Amino acid sequence: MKKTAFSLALLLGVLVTGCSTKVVTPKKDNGKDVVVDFTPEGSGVSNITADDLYDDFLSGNIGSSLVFDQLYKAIVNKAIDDLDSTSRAILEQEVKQEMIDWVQDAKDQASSNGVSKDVMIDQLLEQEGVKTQKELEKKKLDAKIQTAVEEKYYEQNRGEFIKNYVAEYAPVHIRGILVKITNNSDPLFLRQISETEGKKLLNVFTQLQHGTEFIKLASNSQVSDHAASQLTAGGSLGIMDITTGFNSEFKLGVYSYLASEYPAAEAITRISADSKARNIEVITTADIDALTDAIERKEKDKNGKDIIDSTKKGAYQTSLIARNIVFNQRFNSHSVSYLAATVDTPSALRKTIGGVDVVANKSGDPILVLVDENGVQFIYLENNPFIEPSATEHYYSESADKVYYSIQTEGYQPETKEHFEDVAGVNNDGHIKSMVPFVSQGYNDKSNRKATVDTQVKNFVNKGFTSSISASDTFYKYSIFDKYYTSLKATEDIEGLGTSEKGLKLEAQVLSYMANARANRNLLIADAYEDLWEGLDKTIALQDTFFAPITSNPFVSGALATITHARPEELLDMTWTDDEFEHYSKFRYAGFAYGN
Amino acid sequence: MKKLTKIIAPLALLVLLAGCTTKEIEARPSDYNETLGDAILKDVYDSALTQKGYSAMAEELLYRIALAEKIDTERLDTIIKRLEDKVTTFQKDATYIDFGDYEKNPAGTDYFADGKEREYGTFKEEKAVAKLRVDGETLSDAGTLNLWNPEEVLKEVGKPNPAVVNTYISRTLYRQVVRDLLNEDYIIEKKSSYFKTSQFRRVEYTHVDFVSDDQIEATNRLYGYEKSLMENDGTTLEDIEADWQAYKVGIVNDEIAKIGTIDDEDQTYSNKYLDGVNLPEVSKNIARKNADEAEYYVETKLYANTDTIVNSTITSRIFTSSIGSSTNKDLYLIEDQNKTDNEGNTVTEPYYFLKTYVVEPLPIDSIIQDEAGTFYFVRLQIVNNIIGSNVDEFLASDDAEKVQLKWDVAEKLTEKSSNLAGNILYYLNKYKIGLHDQAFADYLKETYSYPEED
Repeated sequence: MKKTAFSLALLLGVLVTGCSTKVVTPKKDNGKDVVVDFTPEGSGVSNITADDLYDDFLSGNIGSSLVFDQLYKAIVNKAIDDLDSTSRAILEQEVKQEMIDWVQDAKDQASSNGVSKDVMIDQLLEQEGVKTQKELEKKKLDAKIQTAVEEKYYEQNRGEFIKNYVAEYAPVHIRGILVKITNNSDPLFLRQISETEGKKLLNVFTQLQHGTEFIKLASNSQVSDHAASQLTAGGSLGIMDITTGFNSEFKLGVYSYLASEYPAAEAITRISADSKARNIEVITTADIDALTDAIERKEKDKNGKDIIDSTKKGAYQTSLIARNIVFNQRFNSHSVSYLAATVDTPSALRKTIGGVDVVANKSGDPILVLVDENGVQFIYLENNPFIEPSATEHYYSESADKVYYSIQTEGYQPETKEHFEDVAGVNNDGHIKSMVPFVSQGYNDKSNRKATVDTQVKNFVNKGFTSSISASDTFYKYSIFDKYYTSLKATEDIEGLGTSEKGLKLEAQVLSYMANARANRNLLIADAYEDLWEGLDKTIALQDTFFAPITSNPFVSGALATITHARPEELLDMTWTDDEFEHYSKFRYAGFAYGN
Repeated sequence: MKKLTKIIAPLALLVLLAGCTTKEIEARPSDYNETLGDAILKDVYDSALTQKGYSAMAEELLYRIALAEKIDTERLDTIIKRLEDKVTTFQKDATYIDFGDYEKNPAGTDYFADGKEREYGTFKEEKAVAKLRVDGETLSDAGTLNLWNPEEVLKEVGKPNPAVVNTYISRTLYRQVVRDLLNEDYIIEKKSSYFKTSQFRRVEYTHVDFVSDDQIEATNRLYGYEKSLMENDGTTLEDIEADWQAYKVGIVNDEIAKIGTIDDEDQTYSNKYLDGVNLPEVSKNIARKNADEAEYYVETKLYANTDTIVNSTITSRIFTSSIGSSTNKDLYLIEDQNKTDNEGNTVTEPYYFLKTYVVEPLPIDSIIQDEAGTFYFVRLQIVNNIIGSNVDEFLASDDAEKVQLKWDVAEKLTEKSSNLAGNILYYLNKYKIGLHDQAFADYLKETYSYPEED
């Protein structure tokens, strides 16, 4: 008996010990569950309730995102009917079929793994994070509905998105001619051009002034150094918006022009005050003559030897030769320039700006000239959203495709038409086929064009900005939330978070959570804009410093002491003493020992 | 009777087994099973718990224990100081710096030809506020209030100032500091023996980078610094830094001024200061900036022998076990113990100069020259000498310096995680934690072995 009692006690002991509930007991504090309590020495017990802890968990951004997810789920479940009344039934049918396939797949797997169907189904459900097939079916349907809503919402609101995109990201279609400058190792304000490059440049000036169509020059590999695909596309460089990865000088040139001509562009491009203050210059006949003359000069050093045109050691002499000095002084201005028209310029290709006739394209838009890291760029803008009232429509409407990837044959000179008709043929409606895939090189059908525009627009909606700020579809979800939450709640299609104190608090928290995310992203984008222009402005400001007159070189005397480096006639006509030449050669530009 | 026992035993078993398999005790919020509009609170709460983890619950418990330990009131000054340090670090985070500012540019010309400011910029409050809000913090509007002064934000530590809402300081950072201090308390309370074995050094140092171009002047300065320190004339290491820096800036300015003059006929200075990438004024400004901003002095800090002070050579010299002996030939004892300083205060611990290298033509030998030709003046305290042999006495001392050292050493000791082993269990036991949620209880058992087995 004793032995039995002892055994029982032992058994009880073992069981009690094995049971993990020994130290855990339920406890309430004012009706609230207590999670844990503690007893400071000399005072009473302090309780930490579940209400306190969980409220705290919900108060941060984790709680906000979780509540947002719940609301979003409710919203898309209703929005699907608003976007397309037939969708839900179709999706439900799809999911039913998927579930039939899923069960069959489970059976197959059970058979191949040697387990029962039920066991396999349980395993697969667990992998999906659900407990029943019904839950799985709902999960699949929710996912499909969300995807469908997100796709349909974009399509239905595409016009609005594009309108905002055009208004905020300032896209323009650009066509260009490039005269490449090979020696781009120098700072931008000290370029050196070869004789060949100089002559190529003069050729473009002359041809444009004489009325040769831009598009013809832009397609000619003997004239333009752009890539073959761009030449084939009539010099099209595609859409450039504020996020496009073109180099900053190029973008600044385009936006300087837009901001100076169209007040609305100033705010959108966020061009800096410095850039705006920089005048758009005009390349005159005198400038072109000076370059022509400089290119033809034979440069001699003090011993009467030809100055070597080389980029190797000792090539400092190259920077002293006339064509480089003329180029840097008169063309390499780092603002955008117009090209002055001459008597040879046809009246249809002229535009009067500030009292000066400049060369324009056939639409009357001026041809712009700028120097960037690639060389000298000649560009003009098509479908400029600031001057064409229907530009937004052009980006949006598929019926306007011909505006983008074909050229109306009217208005072009016969040889241009012939040239392109030879290459591409003519559409039934009289447009030259697929000549100018402005949207992007290589895209010459509607669906690709649409996809390309959509990619850029979605990047905008998702608040992407250049490579530094990744687009996030969270912002797209916020857009859907904004669109439906208030209205669905008002019509009681969804209950939102109700009107209780907690509901109102959480609702305010979620709204603030979205607002904070947007505010932060907007700030980052604003910052990126600022950095983009600011960095370039500073570089350009340095150029201005560089062009200041020489005043401190002790080795130059007399007339030479007062000249700037950028006055070739005086430099080259100067009678140098040996010492002067030697020291000047060493120091070149006022002690600027560049390129040793 | 025997029969009865036979019946009771299986019954008891059944009861007990049933007891074990009853639903786990779960402490949940009052509205756990309610819906809130279309949202299901249970799902939201469960997801929140999954994301935050039971560790967040444990942290809340320990934070409350820290308050029960009166850390918030008894360590008020330290809390403010630590918060200030954290805010300073935060404000230096490149994420919140506007690199477009050029306030430090001495010559009015940009330092860098590419227009990018690499090292300098100003803290952009608006940017920081926007980011913190995304992280779930609540803050007053940027720019309208002094958001970054802990005293202003807290008003009274632990009690946020309603006029300046900044949960990042008043809650997030504040909790971190309080928890850190609880760890330090633990070291003092339960691991005081570590004070004996810490072998810390309190070190401040400055260095001069010897310029061979100006041997005589540089040597004279070195000699002067050494003499001042040996004579204990009140010269501080910061004074030496300031003097040396001014001297170096002067050299740079003089040399830059020679560019383009007959003194630079061989282009020594052109080659030295014009880097071929930047414009001349830019290059010069970079050189001026580098001279102007050069930092030579490193303020007093505790170091463990596992830390590196400058480099391994100097570290090993500072941590040599014989450093406490004034008779060691590698040491030069500059002061006697208990000597008074210039203000009449008792110097409780001697400062040492390390003699490791004889520099010609200096007649004295109390500076360190490292491999790169840089001379270090090091002042150090051997912490163990101050602690003394009776740690309890040291820990109980009211002497302000000793109290400060006690906290500093404790803080330093917490850097090594193994020193903190068992600290949480200690507080759980000390505060007789009562458990009322099975999952949290399991977490404490698994993570901290609480409660301990009898």
